[in-house]
Amino acid sequence: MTAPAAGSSGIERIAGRSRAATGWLLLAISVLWLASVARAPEDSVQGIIQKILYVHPPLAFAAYLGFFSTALGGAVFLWRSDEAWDRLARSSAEVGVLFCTLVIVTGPIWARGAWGRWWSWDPRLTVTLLLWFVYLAYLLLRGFTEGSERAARFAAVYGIVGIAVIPLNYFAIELAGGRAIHPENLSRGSLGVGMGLPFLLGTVVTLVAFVHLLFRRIEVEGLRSRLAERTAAERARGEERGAWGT
Amino acid sequence: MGYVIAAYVVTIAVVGIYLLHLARTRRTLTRELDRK
Repeated sequence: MTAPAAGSSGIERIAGRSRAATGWLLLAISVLWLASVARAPEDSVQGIIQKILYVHPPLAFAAYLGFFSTALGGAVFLWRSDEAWDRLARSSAEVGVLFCTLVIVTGPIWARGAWGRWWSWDPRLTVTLLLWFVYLAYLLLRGFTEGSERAARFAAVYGIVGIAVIPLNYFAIELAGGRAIHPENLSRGSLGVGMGLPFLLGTVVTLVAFVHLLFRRIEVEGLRSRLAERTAAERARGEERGAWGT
Repeated sequence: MGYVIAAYVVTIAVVGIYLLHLARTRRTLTRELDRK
């Protein structure tokens, strides 16, 4: 296990120190979650396909969290000009897109079993796809403009504006009126007996998985940044020696 | 049943592969930093 390097930011130090703890916690809760899903009763209307509910909405919550964290990191970066916050924003966007991708994959698997088709241009599905594209574009922007502070500032603003899609996504069914075919958002008492625990555990597992993945991604981003700094310093020293030699 | 298993397997596999990718990248970067 590598200790967090000196000079790393507070969140990078926390990420480095909590590696084993979040990893083991994730493994332990995942086992409990899968056992509770296996033991959960079958839904009287949908049948066994309803069990996808214990993974699909929790993945969406983790995706939302990733995009909120992108906006937060971007806002603090704009305010304090501290690159550690930009690294948090970038890492959060990548983890958020991963979870959003899983939402887009698990949703159609449920739809194929429940509706008999993989996709429908339903308001919730369409806005989820839009949300995925918005943050995929954020990642592409960061990938193509590596190391540019101006691009980082633009991406921060873009990441903040992008979260406007989240409430649109969450309330898409209500906003569409009767035209939506996607099931309504869960509310108190909408789950049957024995279905609350697997759903709760599913939510906890995805949130712990989000934190674990985000911390691992932040570590990588911090290492990349330190490596770039050292390479630049070495190059500067080499140029200085070259200048003295001539 | 097949759809349910597919949803869980895909989720766990994707998260697992991403974790492995991050662990590998961290090891590579740490090694490069140690060399410099």
